[in-house]
Amino acid sequence: MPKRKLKLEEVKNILGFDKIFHNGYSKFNVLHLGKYCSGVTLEIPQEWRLDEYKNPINPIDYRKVRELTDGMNIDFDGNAEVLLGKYRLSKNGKPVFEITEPKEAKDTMILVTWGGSFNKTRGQTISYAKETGAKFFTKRSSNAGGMGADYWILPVGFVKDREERDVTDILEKLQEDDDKKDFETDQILKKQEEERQESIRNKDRILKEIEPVVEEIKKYNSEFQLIVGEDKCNIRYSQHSLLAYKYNDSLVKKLAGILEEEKGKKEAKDEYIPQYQELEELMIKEIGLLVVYGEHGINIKSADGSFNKTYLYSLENFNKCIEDIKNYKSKIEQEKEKARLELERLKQEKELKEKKADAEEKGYPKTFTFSNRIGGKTNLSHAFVIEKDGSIREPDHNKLKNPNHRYHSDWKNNADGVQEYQQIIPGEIIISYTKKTAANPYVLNVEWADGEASEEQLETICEALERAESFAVDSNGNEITSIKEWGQKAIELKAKECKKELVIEENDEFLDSILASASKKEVLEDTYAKAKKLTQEYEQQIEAEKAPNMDGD
Amino acid sequence: MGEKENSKKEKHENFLKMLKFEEDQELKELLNIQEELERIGINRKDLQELTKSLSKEQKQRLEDLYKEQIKKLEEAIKNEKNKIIEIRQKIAKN
Repeated sequence: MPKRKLKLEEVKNILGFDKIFHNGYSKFNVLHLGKYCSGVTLEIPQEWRLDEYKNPINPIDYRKVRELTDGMNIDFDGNAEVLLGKYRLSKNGKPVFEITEPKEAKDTMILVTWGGSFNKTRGQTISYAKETGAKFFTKRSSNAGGMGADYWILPVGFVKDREERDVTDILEKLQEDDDKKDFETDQILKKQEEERQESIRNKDRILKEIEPVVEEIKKYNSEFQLIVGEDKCNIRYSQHSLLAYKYNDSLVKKLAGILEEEKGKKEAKDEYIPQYQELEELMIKEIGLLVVYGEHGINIKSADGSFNKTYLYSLENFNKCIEDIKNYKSKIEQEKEKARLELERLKQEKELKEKKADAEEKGYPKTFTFSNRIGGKTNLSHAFVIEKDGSIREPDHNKLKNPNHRYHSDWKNNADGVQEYQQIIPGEIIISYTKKTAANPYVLNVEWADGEASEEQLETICEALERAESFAVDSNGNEITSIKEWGQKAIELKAKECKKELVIEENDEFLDSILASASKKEVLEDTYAKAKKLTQEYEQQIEAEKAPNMDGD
Repeated sequence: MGEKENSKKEKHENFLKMLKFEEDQELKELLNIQEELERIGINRKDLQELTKSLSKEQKQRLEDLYKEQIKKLEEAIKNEKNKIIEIRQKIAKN
């Protein structure tokens, strides 16, 4: 049976109690004192049983033995577990419980834990214990009384209100279980010892056998370490932690495997480093990633830490690396594009705000509303607010007759209802058409203009009113043969009318005119300079061609 | 007799005027404005600052000056284009 005699300090360390003393009979006395402790002195042996790792097993091991506790006819009102041993009173009259092997036990110390969360058990009262005839009873509970422990000491065969029963078979069964465990542990330990001895015997032979392999491995991996011990050796290499091996054939096989692995790694490293280097030049540097070449692979990371990955020297990893870099590059580009668009949007928003403020100051219409009817046969009407660059402006508010999901995908052609535009800005032109029935012509009208229409605006007008071209009249009922010609004239006319409503300083017109002229002059000067230069070059060419003839003459 | 003399006198004065070179200060000022605007970059704010002291007539003259310059430049470009076409034809013949 594997056992070991423990030192006092070892016992204190394992049990976590300070009040432990030698009692002079090869035993330790443990004063079981504390909030939830019994207050009983526990007498435990100095020699403890060992587990298969040769660790001592704590003898104060409460175990659940229902055959014992259930037959006692006691309502413990909690979870009962037992220690087996002998109970006595010390010379000073203090309770002592000697822990023994099950077969030697006369008494049992029962620990009843009770209460806690969602647990209604509360243990037993002292009066109940007295009435039962317990040799010892104590109750320990939390400050609020919601949880605690009862300690009972009773004879092993105790039955409340009845004669003691014979529990020899229960105790023998427990003893058998303990002995079986000990036997199994003993077998394991013996086997381990045999292996250890065999390892020691093999040590010289195996070391001789593996020496050239180890030397070879070290050539490929300088970090490789073989630490030789008495009955086993430890291997430490690369990213692997310390691995222990006995001196046997499996060690030889393991080292042969490591050698193959290292050879493979070296070959892969020689093959893939140039490829990773090429990739670095082609893709990685361009996107500002940092590459560190290691023994087994490369690490690629970005300065901000958003990309940090390691790739081994293998085809699979190399392909994965390319894929990751591509994805990262595309992600960066997307983010840059997103930022650029956002900046652009903010800029446009600011410009529009300024333009609107300026327009408001100058007296441009604050709102323009128009009732559109596009999807029908009679009483058709539609208005377009056309920006300086020819694009059609989307309304700021819609009061659609039939809230229509199609509006969102095609708002230019699906907008039956009242539409509102807030603050018309300089340069915008508003045109509209109405048509009563199929027999009536389209009546075209310019609702607002502040100057001449740009080419782009005219183009948009022609496009928007294309369907009206063959059957249209102006607001005075005059037939329209060309939308473009009508547009130019009607806009000019409307602009004169609208301008009267605006607070445009004379100086503004002057500044606009000068700015336009100055810009045009600048462009023309540049064109002229280029043309002049080209002329000079041609002239020089002709001069050069003439020169040899003159020499010849 | 008196009328003839007066007419002669007038002609003589005009002739002297033609001979006498008088610098056009107003034009010089307008050209300076143009030069300054080109130097700092064409923008509304600076243009406003540069022209704030000009009278209505001077503003009109500045506009006319630009129109005249643009016309001349357009003509000059046209001439250069013709020259280039002519030279190209010559080179092609050679």
